[in-house]
Amino acid sequence: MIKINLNGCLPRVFSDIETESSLWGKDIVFEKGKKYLVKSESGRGKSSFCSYLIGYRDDYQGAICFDEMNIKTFDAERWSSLRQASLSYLPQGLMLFDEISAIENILIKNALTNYRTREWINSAMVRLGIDNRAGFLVSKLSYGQKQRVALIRALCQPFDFIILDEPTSHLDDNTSAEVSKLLIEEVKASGAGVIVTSIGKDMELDYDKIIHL
Amino acid sequence: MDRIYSLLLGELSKKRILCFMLTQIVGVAIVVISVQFFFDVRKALDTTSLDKEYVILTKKVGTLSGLFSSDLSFSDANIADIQSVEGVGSVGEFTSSNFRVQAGVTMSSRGIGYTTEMFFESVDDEYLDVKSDQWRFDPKRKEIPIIVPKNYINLYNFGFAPASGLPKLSNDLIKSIGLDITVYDDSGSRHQFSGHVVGFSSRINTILAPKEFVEWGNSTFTNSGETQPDRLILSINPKQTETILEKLKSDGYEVENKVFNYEAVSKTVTFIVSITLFIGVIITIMSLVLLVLSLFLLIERNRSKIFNLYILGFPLKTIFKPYMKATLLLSSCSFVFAYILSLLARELYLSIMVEELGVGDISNNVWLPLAIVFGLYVLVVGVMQLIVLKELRLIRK
Repeated sequence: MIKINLNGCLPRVFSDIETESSLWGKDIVFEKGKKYLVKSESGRGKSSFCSYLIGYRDDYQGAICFDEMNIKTFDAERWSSLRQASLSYLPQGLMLFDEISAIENILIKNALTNYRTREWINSAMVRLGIDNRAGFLVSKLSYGQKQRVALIRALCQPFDFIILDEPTSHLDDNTSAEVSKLLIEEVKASGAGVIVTSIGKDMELDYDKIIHL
Repeated sequence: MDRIYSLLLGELSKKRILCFMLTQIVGVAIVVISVQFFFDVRKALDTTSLDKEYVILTKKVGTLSGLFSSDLSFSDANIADIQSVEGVGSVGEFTSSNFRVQAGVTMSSRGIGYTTEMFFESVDDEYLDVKSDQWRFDPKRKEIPIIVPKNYINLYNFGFAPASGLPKLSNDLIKSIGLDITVYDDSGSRHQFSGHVVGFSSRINTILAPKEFVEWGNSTFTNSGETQPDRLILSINPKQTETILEKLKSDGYEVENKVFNYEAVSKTVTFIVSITLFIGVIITIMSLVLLVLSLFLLIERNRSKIFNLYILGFPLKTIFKPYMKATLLLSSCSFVFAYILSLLARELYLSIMVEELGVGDISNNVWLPLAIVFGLYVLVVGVMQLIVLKELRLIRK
């Protein structure tokens, strides 16, 4: 997948409201290999935007196309293979399984894709400072620790685009910088596109474009 | 993918599994038992008698009539009268042996010997309820096949043997015992035969030998000539049993054996079995509902997990697999249990039917219950899987 087109895409809930947005209702292209920051205040449809791209909501008017294909035509199998091999997603709610350990959360995804070695996962955990939390149940981790677990899990698959919904909201500056560094390395290696959303504290990347919702 | 299994099925409680399996076992077992019982009873009724009923007729023995034996025998006119009664099919005559017979058993290995006076009667083969290849007599071979009443064996096994501390005898054992038959002719000379029991009759209460033997014996060993029969066997239409018996009694005859009312028994059995089957089906449906409910509950509890798995890219079939395997495994276990239960139950009621009711040979149709179990299994598991799939699809969107 090389590009994502938004053609007059607008959440239905906003259809009656006048909005000043450089994304909603506009024609915008996200290209592979570039980094985008989508900045917004809360309640502007930032998470809706992510869920449209990941395919679990379609309550919008206009169209979203992956390589000129309208994504509303995709069936469940197509979405499943996209989520395994083309689209990586770090949701704001993290979507971790509380009742299993941090490492199990990562391995469950990696078992599906077989993309990373156990060594890579271990070293990523060391780099983000959560290696000593590997065996802990996710329910016992702090939100910042959970964010890092979810990021490593998001990297356990091949992708053309990675969508990160407020990835560093609960991280201190040092950790945040380390997360950015790891992400940049992986993105460079795969040549993928990055779409980061933020309502305040931005993840430090050299963005090609900043879009205000 | 063990992680998916423990993630999705980890909350399945043992209590719920047990409850579900118990209801399923009971439901399926009841359905299978009632269906196979229905077929077995049908078969038993078929082998007993379907379109013909047999009764044995004698004249009433009065205080004085015994002194004049000719009063107790049926004249040709009597037989013609009986034959003319509506619903009476054929009339068979009993022919008795008019010569003296002694039967003996010797067990040379144990040095035990035993002889008794006895007699033979015979009747046309069409009235017999025993089929045997050995049922024929050839004067050159000097072998006499014998059919004894089932009642005699029961009388011995359940009355005489326990009371006198003797062992019970199985049918096969009795058949294997050789008898020494001695026949005395009018001049008192002995003629030796060997005899053995070839079958057990529940219809005719006498010691039977082939008609060829009795007739041959009567003409060879005695000069008494033709005699009139004392007993008759009639084949009658089972639907007219009541009126025929009434008529025969009013004519002064006595009916010896109790008539088996096929119609009434068949209706009662069908009714009882239908009710049992109905209850079995209801319990099976209830167990299915219980299972579906617990599956719903399990899926409902896991709704957010399942949704997360979809977002992580897991396809439906990977998420479905743990549920599929769990339902398959649980149902397989309970169906096997139910099948074993139904086999045990069948063993039990068949032995009761054979021993207490004297029902004859019911061929063991093991495929029927197996087919029912398998059919039900496919149906039940299929329905469960469809429901789970539908629920999982709903979460996807």
